[in-house]
Amino acid sequence: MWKPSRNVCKKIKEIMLSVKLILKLSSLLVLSNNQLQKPLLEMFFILFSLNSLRLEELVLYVDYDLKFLGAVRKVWWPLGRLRKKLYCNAVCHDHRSAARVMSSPSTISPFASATHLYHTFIFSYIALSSLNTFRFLSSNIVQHCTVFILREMKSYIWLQTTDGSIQQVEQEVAMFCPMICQEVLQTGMGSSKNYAIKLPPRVNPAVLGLILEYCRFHQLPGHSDKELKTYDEKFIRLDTQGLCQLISAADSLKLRSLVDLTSRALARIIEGKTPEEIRETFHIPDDLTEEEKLEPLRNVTGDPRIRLLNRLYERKRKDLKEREKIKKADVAEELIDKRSVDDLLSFINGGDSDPKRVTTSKKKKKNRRQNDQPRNITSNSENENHGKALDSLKSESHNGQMQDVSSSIQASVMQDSPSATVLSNFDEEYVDEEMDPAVMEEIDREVEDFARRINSVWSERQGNERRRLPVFIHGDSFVARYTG
Amino acid sequence: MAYSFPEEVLEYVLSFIKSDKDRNAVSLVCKSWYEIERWCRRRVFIGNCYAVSPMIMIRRFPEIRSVEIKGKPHFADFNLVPEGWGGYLYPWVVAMSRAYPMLEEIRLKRMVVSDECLEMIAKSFKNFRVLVMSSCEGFSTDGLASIAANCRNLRELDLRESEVEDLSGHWLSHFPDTCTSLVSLNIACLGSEVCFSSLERLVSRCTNLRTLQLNRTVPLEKLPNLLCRAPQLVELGCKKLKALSGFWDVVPAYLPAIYPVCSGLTSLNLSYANIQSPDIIKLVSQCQNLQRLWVLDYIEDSGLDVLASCCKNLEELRVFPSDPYELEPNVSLTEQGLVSVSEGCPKLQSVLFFCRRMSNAALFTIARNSPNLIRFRLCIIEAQAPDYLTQEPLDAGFGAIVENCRELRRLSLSGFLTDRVFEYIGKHAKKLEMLSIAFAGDGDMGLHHVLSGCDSLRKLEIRDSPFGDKALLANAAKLETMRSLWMSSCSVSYGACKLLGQKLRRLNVEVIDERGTPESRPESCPIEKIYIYRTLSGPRYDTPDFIWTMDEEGNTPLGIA
Repeated sequence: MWKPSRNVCKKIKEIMLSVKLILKLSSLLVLSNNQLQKPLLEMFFILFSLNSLRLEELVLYVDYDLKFLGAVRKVWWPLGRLRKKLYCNAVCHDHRSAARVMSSPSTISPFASATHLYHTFIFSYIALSSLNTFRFLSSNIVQHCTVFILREMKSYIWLQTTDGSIQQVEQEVAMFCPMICQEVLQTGMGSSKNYAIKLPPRVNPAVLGLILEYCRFHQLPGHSDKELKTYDEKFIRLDTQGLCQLISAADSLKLRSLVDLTSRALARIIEGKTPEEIRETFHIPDDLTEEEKLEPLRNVTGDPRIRLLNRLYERKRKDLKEREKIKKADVAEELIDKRSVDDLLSFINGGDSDPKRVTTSKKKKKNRRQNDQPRNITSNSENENHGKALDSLKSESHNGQMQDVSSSIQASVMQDSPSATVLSNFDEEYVDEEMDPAVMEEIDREVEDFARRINSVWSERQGNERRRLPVFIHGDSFVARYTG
Repeated sequence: MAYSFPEEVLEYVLSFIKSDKDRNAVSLVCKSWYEIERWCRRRVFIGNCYAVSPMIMIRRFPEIRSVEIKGKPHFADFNLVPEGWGGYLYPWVVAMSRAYPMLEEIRLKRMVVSDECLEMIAKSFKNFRVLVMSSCEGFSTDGLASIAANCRNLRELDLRESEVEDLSGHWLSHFPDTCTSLVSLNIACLGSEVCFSSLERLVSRCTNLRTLQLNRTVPLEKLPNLLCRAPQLVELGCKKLKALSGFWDVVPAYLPAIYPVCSGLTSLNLSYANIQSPDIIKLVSQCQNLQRLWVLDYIEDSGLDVLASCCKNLEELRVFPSDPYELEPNVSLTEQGLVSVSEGCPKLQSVLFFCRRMSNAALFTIARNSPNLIRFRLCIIEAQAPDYLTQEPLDAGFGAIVENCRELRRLSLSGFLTDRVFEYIGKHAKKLEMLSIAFAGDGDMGLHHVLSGCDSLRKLEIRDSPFGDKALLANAAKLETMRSLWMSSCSVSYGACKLLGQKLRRLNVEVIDERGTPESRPESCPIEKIYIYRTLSGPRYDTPDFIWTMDEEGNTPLGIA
């Protein structure tokens, strides 16, 4: 047999008190939706049947299934003295449908056609807003109607957090979370300790407490906007960690209003901070490399020209990094020395600093070129071939066959060129780690030459186009470049 | 205790972070934030159309709904950027039309927009809502007609200060009868007469229309008709009108008509109104809630005194010259007017002031009275005018401004200035983001102070000042942290430009010289103009033949061929 919990007993006591007042009732109308716990309803009927000796009529509007009604009937034997018994299985999810049921002639006719009118006790656990329904009832159908509304009759939902702890929560509070509401309506879970609703892992007991507090306030109707606002402002005064846990839990319970509230608070924390400060605030490790922070010119369209530039760009960035290292060292030095700005200027301009370093490296390059003279001549002539090949590439690429053409170009270049390795590398993004540095440098130079050559041919073409079509230069070359 | 940021909700959090700066910071936190941020970014601002390519933008932000792009440098407003410089919208529209079919907003500034662009915009974006073209050029009313005809959901069309080739006033009639979505329409820059009946019909069917800025060809006597057609505008006129502008040919007799709405006005633009001081005074004294006032110098010192005593909420004041080419002052507007505004209006944040004389004492007072200034642009019409009382340079006065106004982000200098003022700026203006310099300084030290001192500097524009190679090269690394540097008629040599191009690969160094290739002159010869900007997309492809981009070898691409 079902054993009522302490809370339910308390509730029943309250009901009993009101029942005593209505012992003289001769008619009872029960309106209920599934928010009323079945055991409680059973118990209520038992108590009622023992006490309401004068009851002659019962009208029942509930949305439980018939099987349950059968179970209820079993405990109704004391009601045998009812002159009229009426079971009505109407589904009333809200007050509107209840009103509809009540107003349809077929359901009310037995009641309305009664020759004598009884005092009627209406026990409702529909929504609080169902008052309208009763007003409707009292005005149109029941002329002498004693309306008792047992408001706020608490029922409970059982919730279980991932640590295994189970707690019971007032139904209307718990049902404020869409995820729990959904669970109750779809699976019928949560009605007892054994069927507790298992909450998502992101909801730990501490956060659940916080969320229920929020729900408890917000499910109550009638708060003014200002009240809501001040409550929210107070509620959200949490540290960053608290906010993070709260938003995560609220998200898993699909409690969108709380997600928004917390999002806004987190956004305020993020605003005005540098990436570094954000990382510190939320303990996020920095996994972006310097290279990634510098947006690369990655190849998207298969344009070989961009591929070449990419390759160059990559190298440039490496250079730049090295330079920055050197620069940093320079800065460190500068911090110590106390020379005047003029001195520094002359140091930078005329001394052994950046510009000079550039020129020395240039010299080195020149020297190397001289050493490589014989090879260079051959590669130069090859480069010219490349140039021609590329010319044809471009004219074809205007027809939008970029992919095919670029692969065929590669093939043709591979056949007669010692720099084939270079070209085969273009497809893979940057594979130069394992290569011999000397070879790499040479390749780089060749790539650079190649790129410049294409560039110049390209800009020549552009120049021509510009002269021909003053307005569409931009467009034309652009379309050609990105339609492929 | 260790905890992690719940990344599953980052998108919600980001929906409350609007500013570009914050979004950029978010994207540089870590890889996953970068990814999440880029997918939920709906709005992008491109401060320089050559700083990224459309492809880079699209690859990085695949779901953009609103784009704002700026083209030419700011000095284009002063005719310092040669015709044909660039800043074409076309490649952007082509790329976006494929990548962003859901694009809703395009906001442009100083871009070259062809009719073809407008047509493509009109036909590519089904849900297009907002088109704002500020100081743009290259299009005609035909382009506007295709926007009108095809953008069914257009809410805002704003042509502020654009140069539109006016082929016909009938483009307005291309708005289909089903178009009722307009909220804002600004065609004040158009020269020719618009088709009044079309305008009337349009205004009467767009029930949400809130802002209507017409050009001067709409005759004043027809306005009442128009307003009758648009009861919501009339209602605004009676009660909620916030901003008032226009007044092309307003006759003083008409002014009392707007007195009733004055107390509700927060913004008043009289920069085209030829009304004299007494009338302005009467008008301004009615507008007690005014926050922004743009006005011609007809307001005079007496008007500014009234402004200072009546409008305690004033935040922005712009006073334009009515006759800048006249040598002798035609109105009695002096530094005293600005001083009294600074005394009377404690909320003053933004000042643009054209005048004919200035003193250090006045600048001291202004600096003391208005420590909240964010933008201070002072233009003394005569170049290199000293303090008219002492004949001293205005260094100390501007020094006081940068020292007292800690939040100053934009500053324009004028008058007689030596390197000392730049020393003050470098030392105090730590939040300064944009600085305009003209006819100022003695030499390299001035520029050096600015570049080495102003930590937040993003845009620097200089004309006719004796700054040269030394300062530029010494602070080359600083340029990589800035958006752009413009220098014209300064002392920068071609050799230095080459060197910069070699050293700074993340920058485009563009030499602008209309005299022909700089290669034909010695490297030490100063170039006409230089524009240096940070870029991710490398040298641009659409340079006209008077621009040379310095590449890493110090050569121009054309030079190699």
